[in-house]
Amino acid sequence: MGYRIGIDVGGTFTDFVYLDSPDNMKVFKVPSTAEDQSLGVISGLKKIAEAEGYGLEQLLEMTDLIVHGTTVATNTMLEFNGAKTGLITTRGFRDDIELRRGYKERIFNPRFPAPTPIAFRRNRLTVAERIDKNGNVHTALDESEARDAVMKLKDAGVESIGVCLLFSFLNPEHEKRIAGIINEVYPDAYISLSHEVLPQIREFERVSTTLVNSYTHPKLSKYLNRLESELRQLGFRNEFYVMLSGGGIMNVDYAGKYPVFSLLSGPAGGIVAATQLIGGDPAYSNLITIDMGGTSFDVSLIKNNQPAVSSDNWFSRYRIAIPMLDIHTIGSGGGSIAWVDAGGALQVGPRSAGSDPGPVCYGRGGTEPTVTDANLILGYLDPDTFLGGEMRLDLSAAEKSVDKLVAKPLGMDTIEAAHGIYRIVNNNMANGIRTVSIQRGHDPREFTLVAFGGNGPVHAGILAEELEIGTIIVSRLATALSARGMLSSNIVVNKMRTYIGTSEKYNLDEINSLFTAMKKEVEADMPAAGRSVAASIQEVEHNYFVDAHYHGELHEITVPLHHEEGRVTDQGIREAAEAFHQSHETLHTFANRDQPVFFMNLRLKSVRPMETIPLPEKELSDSNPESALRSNRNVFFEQVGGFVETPIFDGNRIKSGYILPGPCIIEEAATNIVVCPDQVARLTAADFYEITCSK
Amino acid sequence: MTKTDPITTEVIRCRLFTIANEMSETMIRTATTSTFSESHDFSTAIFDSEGRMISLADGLPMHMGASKFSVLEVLKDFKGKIYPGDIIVLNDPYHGGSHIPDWTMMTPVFFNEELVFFPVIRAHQGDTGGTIPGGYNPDASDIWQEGLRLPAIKIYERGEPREDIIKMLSINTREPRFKGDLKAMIGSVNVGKRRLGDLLNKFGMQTVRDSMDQILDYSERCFRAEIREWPDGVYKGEGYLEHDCKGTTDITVRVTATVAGDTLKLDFSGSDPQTPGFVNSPVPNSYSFIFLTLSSMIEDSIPRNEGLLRPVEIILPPGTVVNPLPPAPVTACTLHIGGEIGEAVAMALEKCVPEKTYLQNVKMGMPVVTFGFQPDTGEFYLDQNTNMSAGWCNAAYGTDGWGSLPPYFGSMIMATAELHDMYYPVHTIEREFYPDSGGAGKWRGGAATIVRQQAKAQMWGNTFLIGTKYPMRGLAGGKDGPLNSTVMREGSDNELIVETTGFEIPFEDEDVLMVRFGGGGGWGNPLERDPKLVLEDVLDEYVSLESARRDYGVVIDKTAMTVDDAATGDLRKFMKSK
Repeated sequence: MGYRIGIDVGGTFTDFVYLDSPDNMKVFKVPSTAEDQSLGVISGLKKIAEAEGYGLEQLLEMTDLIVHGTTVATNTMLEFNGAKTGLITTRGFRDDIELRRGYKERIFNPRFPAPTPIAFRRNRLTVAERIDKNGNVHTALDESEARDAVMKLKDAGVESIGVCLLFSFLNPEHEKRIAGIINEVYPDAYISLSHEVLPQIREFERVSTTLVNSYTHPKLSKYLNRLESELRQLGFRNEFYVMLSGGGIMNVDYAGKYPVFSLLSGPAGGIVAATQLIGGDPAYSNLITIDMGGTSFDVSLIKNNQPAVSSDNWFSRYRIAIPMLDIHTIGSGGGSIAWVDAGGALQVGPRSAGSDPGPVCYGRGGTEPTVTDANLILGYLDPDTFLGGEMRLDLSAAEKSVDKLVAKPLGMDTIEAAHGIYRIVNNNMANGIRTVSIQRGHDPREFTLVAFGGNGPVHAGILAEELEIGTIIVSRLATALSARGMLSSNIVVNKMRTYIGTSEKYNLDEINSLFTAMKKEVEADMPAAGRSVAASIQEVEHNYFVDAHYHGELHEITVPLHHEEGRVTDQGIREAAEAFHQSHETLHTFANRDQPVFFMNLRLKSVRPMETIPLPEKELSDSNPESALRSNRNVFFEQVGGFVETPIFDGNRIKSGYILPGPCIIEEAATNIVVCPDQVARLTAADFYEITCSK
Repeated sequence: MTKTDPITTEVIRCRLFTIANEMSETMIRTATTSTFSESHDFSTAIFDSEGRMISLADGLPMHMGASKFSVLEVLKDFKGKIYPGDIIVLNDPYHGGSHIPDWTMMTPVFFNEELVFFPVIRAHQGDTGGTIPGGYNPDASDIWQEGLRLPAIKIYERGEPREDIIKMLSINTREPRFKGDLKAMIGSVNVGKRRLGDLLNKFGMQTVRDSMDQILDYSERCFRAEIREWPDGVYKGEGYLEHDCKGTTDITVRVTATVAGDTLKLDFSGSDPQTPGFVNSPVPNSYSFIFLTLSSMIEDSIPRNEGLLRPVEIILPPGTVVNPLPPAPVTACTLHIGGEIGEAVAMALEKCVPEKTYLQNVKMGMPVVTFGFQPDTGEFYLDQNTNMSAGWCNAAYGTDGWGSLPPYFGSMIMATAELHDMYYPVHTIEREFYPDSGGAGKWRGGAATIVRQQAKAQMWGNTFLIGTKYPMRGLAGGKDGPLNSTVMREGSDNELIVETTGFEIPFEDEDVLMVRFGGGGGWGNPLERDPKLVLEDVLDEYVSLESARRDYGVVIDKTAMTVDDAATGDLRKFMKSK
């Protein structure tokens, strides 16, 4: 087996996970290069080559697979520095992107401004044409108008054009024709067609998703093409894939054409890792993952080994209606700033000191107390061993700042104030976990908590206690978990079609012909089987789904639709309806089994499985952790009402099988794991920590 | 009494807010009519056993002052007879409700046999009987003609459904999916009950009660601090409504606002007497709009709860449009005269703190409601046309008006043309902003749309139109938005330009309905708007070249499409001198 390399570009570091055999996995990181992410990627690859004793070309020749998680599209939408974008749409519907179906984020704040425009009104042009609700041509496309519109956009310097016409998901002919005209008169333009990006009813959702695609299109496409051709020139001959927001991977052509599919490219890797690696153990098929970094806290839920996926997404205030892993983000990170507001209440976040200047204790000019400063005061972090001793933390600066800006205004002592910050941020995070679990009909007590990111394992113990979760898993890969997950991801192509019918009135021929058409599209998109595709399964697996709802409900639930050798049958429809009733009951407390189920969209998820990399199987040593004990220090645990002398273990010296009873702290290279009183940690044969909570 | 520490209080406050939002989420995901699932025409909140609002979810703010009166009514009517497992509902405007279509439901939460909380949902029903489908009866001359009146009644007692009562309710509505929505409301308050029980178990009664006191004190303290910044004085304001559908015209709400130290007095004496038409606003509804207007003036991080009302003294003279005596009809009040109550308050406070003041009104009247029979199944349908409303979003200090509607409507989600066309026998022809639809100002009012839709089968339409004389008003020197216009059967021999109301107006196949709303008013003198922004607006066709010159004093070179600085300077100087 050749090398396989997973590369995850984060805000501060670019993480690499690479291996040439299952039990020889290595982790590596270099600083990210924000201006051009590929610089960091190439420099990291060079260093890996060095470490392995090869030249870069040699290494790449020996590499079977590279999977890349990139934040190019993500950052474009966060920083609003995308392409000059235009829209061509149906006469009379120029403003859907601004109307937003009336939605506003802040109902009490009239001073809250409009979203940053991604396509100015002057570049949103309409043409005479109309498809009606039956998919028939109501008004023929005025081709000369379309031509004029394209010329106008070209003259305005528009680089990327979205085309979104009413009812194009039923009949895409006019959109296709406009694409033809663009290719004729402005061949350099980037084109996004709504019936390709999101062939689904509801014009606002479609136009918003399509415009985000247009806006991010040139940047991601150019970036990926450049990186791939550079790798090719250096001698890389095999498969290069990009991690997408739905948890699958795809080739550069596809990922570059649909950048809106990779907005969650980074965090998706972590969730796949949790699903495939940790969830591979049948004891852990229900997981809640938490990823706490410097500025945010991401929560997601995995039930029966299936990560929750949602189409109900907003990103940077734009509606993205494609299925993405359901990641709930709140502004609680290590850098979140604690402050006392005008009314005298303590707040934590959402403002963050990020990594620059960072928390006060970093000594880089931060003056406002953060969660990390509170964690340092409470003893969860050690000034001398933070990040493996790479950075010394300034405890007294942290204390002074907490004292001045939190303790004094609230009339508390410094410790109480630091503990207050800790409690508030924990409460915010616990509520975030409640949102993705309880509010969606899941009881967190039936789940295992998987903590990653630099700060996740510091808070996981107390969160598990608050939510009465029995087990916590912390991977030793910590921050590199996303990169590892990318190497476990399969090639996935998602397709959809709107189909309006009910469980009583449906047309199997129509349904099956829609699936056949989707499969045809998959054939065109699906990359050829390469070396890393699972040898035993060369075939593409087609999974059918249907979005369904009761009459009048306009939020759909996606349920599997069974087929026999590709064909949907009456039996399949009945089973899908029953699956819908059951999901409705779980999610919303009731089902109306006497009512027909309304169908809205058909979905096809086509998977080409990649070869799996087995988990490590370490030999178990005896359980005594004494040899890993680094020191003892006073650490604050609210469960025992204050500071208590606590053993601190050196993660590097912990062997599989060691049992570490709480309270204790395990110092790993990239994170500290806080094991609370009444919790017990153990390093498993698969090389992750399993913490059981008896409270 | 030991005071609960501020950290625990904050933890409990966030938890309560999460619970109120979870109640909303339950309703959104389970309601079976799109009024709730798609348009979110409801709100959820948590009250304590004294009827104090502790936490309000991000729902419809215009419900927020009113629900308090519902809880007080329940406490009064069922004194000593509230049991665990009860579910109580009411809607009567003269018995704790605001208007007949809004049903308020609650369930008591006990801890150690002591009443602690009421999780409450208030939701707009698709139909509640009465003369006209949908509940808005412009012809009503008393409350009985507006629909089924419910004082506080139990639909569940001690956990047992009262099937007779539920049946009575369900045969008094035309809405075939009524029971589904009722189930969803019950689910919502029950979710609240469960979570509040967990909260009490975790923290104990005393800590929770202490925290609630502190949460309310906190909001009160914040609002008092705000008012203290306002210049003391007496300020007057008026809000105007064209008509009440029964011949009364130019109905005026008058308020005298007195700012003194950290208190605010709002005296509505001098407001017009109650009218024969359905625009009268019962006290709970009047509170909602006062509360809404004041809430828009403060930081949105300050929790919206009972505490905000404490520094405010409100005088609503009986027998006027802001406090009618029974049996005056009231259904339209949640838009009008509610909106005009807010308008009067804003116009008064504009003279005191113009930068803070915002006018959260919609000059809507009532959307055109159409009804008929589905051509394929013959099933009766009622279409609220929630895809049609875009307009009236005023500018605020520092921000142009934007989006579809004023912020307080921001949780109501409009239908899309595609689904609307799919579900009803209509063809949406257009829905687009028209030029100069936002009032000029240093910050421009939000643009408004023209909507045209064509009937694809026979149907009938009802409407109640206002905003034909009194548009959205500009503030601090900003200009008003344009007026509304509704035309039925546009372009046909039978064209009908609606003046005040349209009632069961028939549409034949292919007839067109045209609705053009007015945009928002501007904020501040348009001659002070940055000419570059005016040029941007012209390029984007929000503002015409003529309006740039006429209203903003900005001269734009038509060929180069650049601002002529010299000519603009001269023109502005001249306009300012006038």
